[in-house]
Amino acid sequence: MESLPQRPVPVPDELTAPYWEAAAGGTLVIQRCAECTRYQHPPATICLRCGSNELAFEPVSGGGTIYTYTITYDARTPAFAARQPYAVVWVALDEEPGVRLLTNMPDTPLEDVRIGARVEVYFDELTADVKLPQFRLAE
Amino acid sequence: VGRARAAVIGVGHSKVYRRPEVSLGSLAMDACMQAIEDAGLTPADIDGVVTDPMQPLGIPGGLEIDGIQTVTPEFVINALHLDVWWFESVRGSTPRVVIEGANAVASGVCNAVLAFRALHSPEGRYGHSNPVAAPGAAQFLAPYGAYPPAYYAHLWARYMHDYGTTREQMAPFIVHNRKNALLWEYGYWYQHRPELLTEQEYLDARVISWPLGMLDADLPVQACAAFVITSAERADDAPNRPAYVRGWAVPGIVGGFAPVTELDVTRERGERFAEHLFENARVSRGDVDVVNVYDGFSIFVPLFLETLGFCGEGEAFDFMAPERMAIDGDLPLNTSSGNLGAGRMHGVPQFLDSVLQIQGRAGRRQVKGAEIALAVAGGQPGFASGAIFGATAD
Repeated sequence: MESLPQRPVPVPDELTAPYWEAAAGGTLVIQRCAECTRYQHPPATICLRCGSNELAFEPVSGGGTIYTYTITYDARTPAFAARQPYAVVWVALDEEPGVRLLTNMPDTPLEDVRIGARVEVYFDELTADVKLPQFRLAE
Repeated sequence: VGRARAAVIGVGHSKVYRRPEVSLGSLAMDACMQAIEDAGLTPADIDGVVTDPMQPLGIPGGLEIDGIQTVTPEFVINALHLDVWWFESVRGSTPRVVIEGANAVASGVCNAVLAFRALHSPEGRYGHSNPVAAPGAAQFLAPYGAYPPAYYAHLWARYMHDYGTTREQMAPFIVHNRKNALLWEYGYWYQHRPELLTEQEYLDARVISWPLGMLDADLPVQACAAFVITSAERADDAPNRPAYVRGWAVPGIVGGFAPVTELDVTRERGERFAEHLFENARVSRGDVDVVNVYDGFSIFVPLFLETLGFCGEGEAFDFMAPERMAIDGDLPLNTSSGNLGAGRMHGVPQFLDSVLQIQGRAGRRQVKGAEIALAVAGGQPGFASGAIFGATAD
């Protein structure tokens, strides 16, 4: 359990359950189109590029680059007020830089959060059942 | 073809409140009756009603009470005893409300449409809540504390990185905009706190999500505005000069279900929107006399100028020179003072001022000889809708 106030817990649905199941097992999976081979995130019911519905979740390396970020000093919720200032970062995945994931990089000093920095995924235990993909500076 | 088929002939705006001390339904009645009278009509002449009842910060579970925290077309139809051929609740705020109203008269279904937008400002600290679960789109956002304005700060941080600009470069626009706010009689700052700003005050304001600070975001308010739209033919009989709807555009690409706040995607979508807008209106950029773009967060303004093609990529902060932006400048910018000057009225200042400029009724804000006015709102570039108004039908 978290020592700080509990963050909101994702509620998986028909579209997103495989993503959260894989995350709980320590693997980052991203939805990929069998027709045009492009990845997309968040998951959708069709490929937003080619319209195919031949979609499956595939593991990715978890490596990426910071595309952009912000540092929040005045959070809206008690969970993040207790964690501020905190970063909200878009990471561009190595497999396809147009595919981006949000992260907080909670283990990284804020001054090291820079556009272009190399990062890697790890999993942050949100509850006993739910793990949240997060990123930190790559080794 | 090419001739405008619809025109705005009447406008109304309620008083502006910071808090919900007057019910939204009552404010909507004020705005709607003003607009009908301004158009030289009576409620019996109105045969279509359209709004977007969505509130930017709704009550969880969609439990807004009609007439208190939101206003639907049904509320107005009942309250004014209207006999309508068509009514609709649309998404996309003021721009889509005006666009769909124009479509309804252009199609011939309606003769006179009442198009309104009412915005509720709740009690308490805006947006503060304690969610425990993150369903739907929130599942990829809320667990990371990703709420507005963080999304939009992302655009600015990347912009600074790509073009080597600074937060300080926003200050002249903010100062310019507050000057305009004190000329916008339908706004919070005009009605309640007619105070100018200095660049230093802007830079000293509290940072919320770096680089966005307090004065980069609009202030929630409670008010309503209304427009009466009629066919271009009937507009000739109106007491005021018509503001013809020369063309419009909506976001051309519909994405996934999370907010897209990446600069490259925003730019690509925004540029495509601009092509649609100018092509649909059969107007070129050089024809535009006054520009009102959405500024719920200040960074949207330079991004709109670039994606609309008024200046090149990365050039907006140089382009936004005070002498160019001024009411008597080469490209008067946000003469309405936008949402930063009016309060969180989602597209109302942009559209209302554009109409008044074309009608020659903008008072101390009037751009001399304004014949073409561009209004865009409803989100950041690529997510916004817009319209071009003209003093003539073609």
